[in-house]
Amino acid sequence: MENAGEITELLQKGDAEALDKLLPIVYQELHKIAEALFRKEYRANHTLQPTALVHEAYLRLVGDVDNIPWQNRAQFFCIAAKLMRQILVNHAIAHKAEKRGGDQTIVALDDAISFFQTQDIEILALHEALENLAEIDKRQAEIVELRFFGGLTIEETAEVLNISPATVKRDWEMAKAWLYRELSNDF
Amino acid sequence: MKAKVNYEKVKEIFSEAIELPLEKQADFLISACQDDENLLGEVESLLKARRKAENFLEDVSAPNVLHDSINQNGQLIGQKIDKYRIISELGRGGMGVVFLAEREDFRQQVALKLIKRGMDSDAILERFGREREILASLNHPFIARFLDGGTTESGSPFFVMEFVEGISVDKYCRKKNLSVEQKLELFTKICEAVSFAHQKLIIHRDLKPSNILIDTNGSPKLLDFGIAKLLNSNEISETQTQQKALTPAYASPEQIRGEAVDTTSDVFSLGKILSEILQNDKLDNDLQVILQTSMREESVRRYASVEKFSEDVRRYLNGLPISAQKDTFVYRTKKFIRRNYLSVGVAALFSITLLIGLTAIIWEKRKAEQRFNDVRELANSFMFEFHDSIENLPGSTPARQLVVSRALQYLNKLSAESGGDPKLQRELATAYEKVGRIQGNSYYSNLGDTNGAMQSYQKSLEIREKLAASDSNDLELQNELANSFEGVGDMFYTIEDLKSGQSKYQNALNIREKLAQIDSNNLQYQSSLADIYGKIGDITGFEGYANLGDTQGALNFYEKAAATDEKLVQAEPNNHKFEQNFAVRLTYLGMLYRTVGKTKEAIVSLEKAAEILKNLITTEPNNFEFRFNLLTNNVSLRYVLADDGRVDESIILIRQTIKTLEEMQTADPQNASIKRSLGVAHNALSRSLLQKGIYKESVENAKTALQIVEKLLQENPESGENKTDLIHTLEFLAEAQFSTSDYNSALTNYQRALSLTQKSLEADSANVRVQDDVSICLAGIGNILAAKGNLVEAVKNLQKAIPIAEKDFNDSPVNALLRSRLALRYFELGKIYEQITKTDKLNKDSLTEAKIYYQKSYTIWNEMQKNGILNKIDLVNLQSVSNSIKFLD
Repeated sequence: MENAGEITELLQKGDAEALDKLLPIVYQELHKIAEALFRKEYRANHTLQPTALVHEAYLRLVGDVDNIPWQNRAQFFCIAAKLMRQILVNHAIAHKAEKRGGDQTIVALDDAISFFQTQDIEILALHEALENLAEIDKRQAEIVELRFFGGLTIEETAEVLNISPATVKRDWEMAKAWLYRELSNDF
Repeated sequence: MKAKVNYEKVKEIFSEAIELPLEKQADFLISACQDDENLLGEVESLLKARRKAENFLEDVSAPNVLHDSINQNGQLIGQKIDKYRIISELGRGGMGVVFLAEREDFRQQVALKLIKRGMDSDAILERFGREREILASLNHPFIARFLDGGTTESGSPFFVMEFVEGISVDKYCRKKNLSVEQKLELFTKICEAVSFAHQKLIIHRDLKPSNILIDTNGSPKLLDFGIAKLLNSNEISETQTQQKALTPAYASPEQIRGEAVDTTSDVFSLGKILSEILQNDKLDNDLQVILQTSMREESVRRYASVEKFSEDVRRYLNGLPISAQKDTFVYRTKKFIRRNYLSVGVAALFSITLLIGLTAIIWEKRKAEQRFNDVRELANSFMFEFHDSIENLPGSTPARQLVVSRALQYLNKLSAESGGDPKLQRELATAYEKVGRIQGNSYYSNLGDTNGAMQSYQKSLEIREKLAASDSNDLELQNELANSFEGVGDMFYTIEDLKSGQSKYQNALNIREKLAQIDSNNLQYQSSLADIYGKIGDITGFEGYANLGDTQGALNFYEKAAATDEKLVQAEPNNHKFEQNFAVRLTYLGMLYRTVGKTKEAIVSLEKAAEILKNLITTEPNNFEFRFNLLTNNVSLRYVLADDGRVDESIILIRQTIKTLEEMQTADPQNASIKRSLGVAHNALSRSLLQKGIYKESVENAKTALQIVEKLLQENPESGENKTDLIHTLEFLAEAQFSTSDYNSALTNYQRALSLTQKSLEADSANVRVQDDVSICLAGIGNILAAKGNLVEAVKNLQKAIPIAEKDFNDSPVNALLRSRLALRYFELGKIYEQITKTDKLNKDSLTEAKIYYQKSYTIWNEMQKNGILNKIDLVNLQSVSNSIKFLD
């Protein structure tokens, strides 16, 4: 929480320089949370979804402050969603290739990923399916990224992408069906 | 195996189908997909997946079930909800019931809003959790305070607000019988409250008279701020759509359509409310305009903020002119995205920085492992994808600059470490090309860094030349090589090193011709070929730009370009881009035909361009480019119509063009291209009127053009284009003034133009186009002096003008415009000598000179006529010079 003031300030500023500073902080925080996952501190009480990690990161970094415009909060989740996806995918790849270095974070994240796998969502497969979806419909893929990896609501997603909530909702419904079909292979 | 179907179509049908009950879906699908079995199969398969995927990717936390029903709220009176005891019911609405309640520990009376069953309480509470602090911070004397919120024991959400004793604003106005002024005063107070909330980024979304109470002191109190947002959102069940929850009489059109809402939605609702409380009053014009402006259908055309709205009301009350204008056609051409500049720009910046930060992190990590493939991927695709996605967003330049500088850092690092890996080398070259384009290629939206762009393009060219040397069969590699040549060529063109530019373009052209031949079905290759033909045509001899003076060469290239474009249009008839490219090419081609004196071909080409563009505009009436290209084409068409003697038609055409341009300018007053075109168009009209003999109006139009051009030059004094425009406009004006016998003004303007040309020549002595203007000015001055009777000085001026015109002609013999101009100079000098003969009958030399010069001009025009390149204006000249010759004999 020592960063809270600074982060609040950075989020409010919202310029390039501020964001440049902000990113590594968010990235590290996401790592830390994943590490804690490994130590099973959170498993008992928390729903283990990428979304939860991202929200956790937000609370830890920013806290429950009221002076951040909600648009900026949405942006935070937007950033975190993309980071989260990248973190999970990178490490899933590393895991798959059985590249285990001495880096404890990697191990921790591998474990976190295997947990996601038990929830019937294989992160690499989802990532690839999302890439395929992006080829057909970039916006739908983006919506899934924000909703699934970032936990953005329909309305926040709409704000970030500058489209209407009704459109987000329609696209989300369809993207879910499309991805489900792609991943389940039984159609 | 999934069949290939149009995803947009699938999306459309899928989205409609899921709104229907299951049993109706099958019939709907059959009628919507008609006989397209692939389409039907695809939608059905997705709908089937959707039924299984209900919880897929959704948060897995168990949904709370709503137990209690507000419909049975009679039982609630006297009961407690959380800390509040329910006293009585205050009212009911679409979303629930409002009670008067009391907080026992403070004896404070409050209004408690209990949300109706059927609303998704989880989602509401989730949003509430995020919004509560903001709502609680909404502290304003005219806004009812938000106090608390939570759930009942059975899980229904409720909100607690300050209890206000008062009556709704519409009733208050009626009851107090307020005057228009009093109503407006009250209304500005309401605006003040809404504006305050907007500053805190809270939009009301459901403003209506019953949400605006006037208390016993006559002060407004706005209820339910931010509540609509908590309730109205995506998570409302599909049957209960957003518009039903809103109050349609006051909801903005975009709200009713379920689109994104912003502060101007509140502007709309406030306008509705104001018009309602004023409905029995007599309103003058200004007040009506204010109301209309606030309630416009398209949100961008309303007042941009409540503050602006209120300010206009205030101005009205103080008897000042209001800022709103009557709605006209022109507003429609405004770019809708403009109002969202800030949010769009900021969002883009966030995304970009995210990627850059990420790249930096991974870079540091991977470097240690000597694995830079990931970095490469990020630097190459990730960043550029982002760049491309924001390229056309206004206000994204800083973000784009950031991308470029970072991308270059990584690329240069990678370049140093890449060794001989050809795959990596190839990607590097692509990255350099993209960076070059962003840095300074003026064919695209760019950052104006010409030197940087040249370096990047040359790096990409170096790499690709090496790669292509070892593998000449890879067509895509060849295509990439052509891109690099073209990019380097573009940069030479930009710095006006025309010879080098032409040679690079030629390299690109050779490759592109080969590719288009080998893979003739590849539309991309064909389209790139058309473009390079056009570019090499420009640099070779297109009059409008810096060029190498080879008009015939330019024409040949443009004919090839247009033929290639036409093939593309035939290959893909509904591709607007191909059609537009073809049309613009035809405009240029038309101008080139005019330059070589082929008036008929020019008219055919320009009229065809106009037809294509008009059709495009019918399909996309708001497309700025289509409209602007048509207007540019009109101006060109005016010149050739006038050349062909169709002066009346040309006047009608250019008057229409000016009118449309003026409308576009009102919509977009800062747009320099529109301003400049308006100047060009007024000049064109001045020319036509001069030909028609309507001299006074011709002068007026040239003066209007002069004002526009001088203003543009003031705004951008370094622009060569603006300087040239000023010189031309002064010449046109002087010529028109000469025709009205206003010799002194004409003389002044020619002299000013002449001194400007001399300044330009000091900067660039080889500039052919400026020398041409020197000749025109000298001749103009000579003609005026002759008219004033100063024949000796007149001859001197013409004799200075003629060698320049001769040189221009010799440099570019195929250019019919320069050729005819030289003939005109000879003719003018002949006339002055003839005049000398008349005043001094004994001057034999003058007679001889007159005959010589008449003969010279006759020879040129006569030969042009034989070659079929003499236009109607010159034909008249030919006839008069031949009459003069007969007369002297």
